[in-house]
Amino acid sequence: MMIPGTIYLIINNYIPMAGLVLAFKKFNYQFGMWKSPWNGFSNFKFLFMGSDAFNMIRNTIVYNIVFIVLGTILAIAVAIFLNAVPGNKSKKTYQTIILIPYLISIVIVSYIGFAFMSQESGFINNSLLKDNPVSWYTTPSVWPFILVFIHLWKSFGYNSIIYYATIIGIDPSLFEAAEIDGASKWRQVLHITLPSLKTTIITLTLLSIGRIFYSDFGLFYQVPMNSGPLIDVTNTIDTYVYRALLTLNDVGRSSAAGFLQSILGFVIVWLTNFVVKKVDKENALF
Amino acid sequence: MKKTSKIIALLLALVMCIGMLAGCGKSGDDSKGNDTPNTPSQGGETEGDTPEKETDVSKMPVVKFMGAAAGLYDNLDKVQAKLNEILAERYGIQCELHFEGFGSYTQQLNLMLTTAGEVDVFYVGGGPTTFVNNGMIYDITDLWENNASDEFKAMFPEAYIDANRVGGRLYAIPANVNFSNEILVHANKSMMDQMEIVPDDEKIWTLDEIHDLVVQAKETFPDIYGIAPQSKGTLVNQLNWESLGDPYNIGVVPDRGASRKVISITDCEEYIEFSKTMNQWYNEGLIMQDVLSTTESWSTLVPSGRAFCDFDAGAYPNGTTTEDSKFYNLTLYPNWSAANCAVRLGWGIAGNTKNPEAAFTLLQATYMDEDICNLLSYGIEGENYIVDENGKANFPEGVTLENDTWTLGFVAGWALPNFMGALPQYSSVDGHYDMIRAYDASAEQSGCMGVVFDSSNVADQYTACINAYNKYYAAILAGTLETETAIAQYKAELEASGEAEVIAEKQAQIDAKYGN
Amino acid sequence: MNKTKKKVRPGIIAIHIIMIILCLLCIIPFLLIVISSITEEKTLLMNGYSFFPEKLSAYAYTYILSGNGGKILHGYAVSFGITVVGTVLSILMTLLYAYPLSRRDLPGRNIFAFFVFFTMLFRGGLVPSYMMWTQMFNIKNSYIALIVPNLLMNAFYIIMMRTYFSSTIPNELIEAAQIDGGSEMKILWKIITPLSKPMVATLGFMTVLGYWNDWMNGLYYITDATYYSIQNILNRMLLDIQFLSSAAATQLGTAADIAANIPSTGVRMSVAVIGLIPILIAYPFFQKYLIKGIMIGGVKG
Repeated sequence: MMIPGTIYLIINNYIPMAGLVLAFKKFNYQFGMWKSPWNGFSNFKFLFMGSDAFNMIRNTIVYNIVFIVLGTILAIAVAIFLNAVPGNKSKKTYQTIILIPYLISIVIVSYIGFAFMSQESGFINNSLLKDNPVSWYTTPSVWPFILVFIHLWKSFGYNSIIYYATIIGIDPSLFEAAEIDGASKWRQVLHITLPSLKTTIITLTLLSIGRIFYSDFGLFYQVPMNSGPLIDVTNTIDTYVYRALLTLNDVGRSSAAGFLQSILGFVIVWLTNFVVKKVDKENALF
Repeated sequence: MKKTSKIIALLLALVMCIGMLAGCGKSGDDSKGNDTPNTPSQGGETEGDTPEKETDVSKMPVVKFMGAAAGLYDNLDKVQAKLNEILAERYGIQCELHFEGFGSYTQQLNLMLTTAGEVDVFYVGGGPTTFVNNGMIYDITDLWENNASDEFKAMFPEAYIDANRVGGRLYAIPANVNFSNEILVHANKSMMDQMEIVPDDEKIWTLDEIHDLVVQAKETFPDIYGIAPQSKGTLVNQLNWESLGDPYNIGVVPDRGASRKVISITDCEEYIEFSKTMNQWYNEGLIMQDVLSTTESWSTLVPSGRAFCDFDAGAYPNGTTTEDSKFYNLTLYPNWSAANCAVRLGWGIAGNTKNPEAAFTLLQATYMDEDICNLLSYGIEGENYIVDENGKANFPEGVTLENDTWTLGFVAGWALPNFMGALPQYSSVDGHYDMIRAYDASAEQSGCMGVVFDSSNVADQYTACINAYNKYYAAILAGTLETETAIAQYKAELEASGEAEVIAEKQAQIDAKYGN
Repeated sequence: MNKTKKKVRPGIIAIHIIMIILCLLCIIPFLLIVISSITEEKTLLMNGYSFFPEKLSAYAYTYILSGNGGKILHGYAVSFGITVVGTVLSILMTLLYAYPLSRRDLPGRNIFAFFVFFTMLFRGGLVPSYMMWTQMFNIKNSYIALIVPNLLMNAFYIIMMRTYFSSTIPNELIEAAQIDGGSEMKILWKIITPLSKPMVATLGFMTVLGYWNDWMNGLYYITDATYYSIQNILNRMLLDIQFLSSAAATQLGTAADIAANIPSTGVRMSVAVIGLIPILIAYPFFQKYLIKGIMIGGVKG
């Protein structure tokens, strides 16, 4: 049964992984992947040059942690609400509508953001803060909140639908029994729904932890409009690498960055999974 | 054991399946592809009739041409067929055209260059150095010496060809465009007319005069932006400092490279002074407050009347502004040729090309053959363009820029090898190309002419400096930050990022060409 | 049911209010997109984005559709085809892989799970993938290029499916079926899949989204316009417009007067709408299965 999938993964994912060697090579198109000369660790050096290395790594991790924690809470809450809403019609309507943000491309999101936050023609300055307009795109202190808000806004529909699919798969007899015992809705959520979601929560969280050194490029680059004064709070590893290599066209260095992001994520997931395994063997990812 | 062998067997089977499927798709595609080279000789559809010619065409080497498009090219099949007709008759080669939008061009080119035979002749943006370092581009020194016609060799000054050499070897030919730019202000014409100001084409404006003009415009039209950004997020890209083609201006030579002495941008007098002025203007509200974050650039804001004016660099010889132009060009600093002027746009041959001679033949033809220049610029005559009574390319009846299926030359001919070898377009003044040539000839030359910065020796420091550049350069120059504090921070971050080594490397590259 | 409904009514109202607020947050920006797509370009430039524009105009849509109508329909057809084929294949492969993975008696289960998970962490990158697909499999300019690379199987979906199986399907059910003598294929098909309809529908919908919105494969592997999906066509148009509107900025450009009339922002917004609408139409269809899934689950329970 697993054969087609295994083969596909080997071809689509594992064979190209040979490309990870490029992280240690000075790639030359004429020689190709294998014959290009080795380069040791020098492709990694650019990530740690300059005064901002610490800053961008910290941003990447902290944003991701906030996204994981708040995102999970919000998604579960919405999924439970969705389940509690009586009537298929309103369920359907809500479900469709909360998915819309996920469908809008990040470039369009950045346009919408500008429509709200533009200094001279934006809604916020024009209608809400007429007397003290804020120059949003040059005020770094507000951007951590804006970025978290936009991320949650864009992703909560998608995530809550995954949780929702799990909730509606829960054996209804459990709720019926609880009902008969006179358990309140809140107690049902606490004692039936959340425990049933545990596996899903742990799995999704572990998966997100694996990508904790990655970031949504569009969110951190397009949405702040690549505005210079904001870079201290919007710089992540991905935007740094993009800006640094934009004109250098350096396959080796970009592979090196990806390699580092993967290997660090891998180590952290491995450790987390190890802890999960110790506590609850069933829910470990592998 | 048994399981693994089974897996391997199935793996092979699947691989073969996919291969076959892909092969099918491919072969179906090939038969389609064959139509195209056949089309030119469609007259001889009865196969027995002209057997020799048929086999000739199919035996001719096929050169793959890849360009960056800034216009529409939907009529590709017909243009390619017509091109192949000309190529078969005059040069004995065939060609496959491929265009990619500027947004995805570099990535697509990089991918295609990994496989030999996908690209032969391609557009080289920003000079050949990076391509040479990565082994992507073919050394055309010998082809240039032996296969280029005398006319072709005489097309550009020796210095411009030399700028495309790396380690003494030639890798690219510059596109035939303007080689000098002036720094100017575009001012919305209808607003100027309403303010009853008719600028003198010859006049050199000062910043103070521009200031007063913008103030007056803001008073007359209170609802508009004063000064729009030159490009998204940037009020003005660069003034009179020489950066040796480095778009990040890490280490510059002031005053058009005159001293050949590289200094930090944060020590550059002109940068500091101009930023201070812009800071005042910004605080006075003359500059669009959203300059760093706006999604529009001057080309939509100024002509539409949303903004009054903007800074720009470009080739606007006196007398080239036509009646129906939407803005006046107010010169701030007369035109000069930067050190990298001959490598900004160029054309080269892929490093893994299978037939360099044929590729060079095509390259030469795209510069020297007038019919091919017209074809690439304007497409098919009668369908995509007509020659109007002034001998200029114009749209056929009912065809506009929006629905024409080939507009590369109308929109941005500079993305082609030699659009000046084609007909001038309808909206240009008579003798426009000659005026451009004269304009270039009279331009002040950079003191560092031909030195194009190669960052490969200091790439780590350079990338770190780029980070600092992104934070400060444009924000300071647009006047959005308090100049002195911001420049001090910029300076500190550049120094921490290894700016000194980049500057030393730049200096060494200048000295290598011009001595101490 | 009725009894509980009465008891928690205030709570339900509170939930409705919360959901309505969330929905408003989601829908208002979308409305802004739709309205800007029908706002006259000049008004958009002069007054900025607005919910109540002074002047409406369908010019952006007519601009896109005039002369391109056939192309867009063809693009829709291509996208529809690859989406259907890709989603069916993808769901089949995901089910086939996830089911054994969810079984506690699978030997080397952790290794297989790790094998999947590993692909989420490490990626070879674009250059090696491109070299493999074009040089080994020669898929350039074929529909396969739009279906197979990257999209066919998603490690995330496998893991979600596995988690769903192991957390909601009781082991006893499988054991009972095994005792009845059902083959594993039969168990998967007849018992597990129907029970998993909510997740299959959810992941199916996400796969549909993946295929429908993908333009990367088209960008990398397709140079022949007959294979363009709707996203590639729309993307091409956006690029074309960008060029036209920036044409004036070129050294010798004289096209500025024309550029100002091209509805670049409006077109961007209408392109977003054109790409979104089929998905919004398709979604209720998947929801039907979601609801059906609940009912089946209810019957079994």
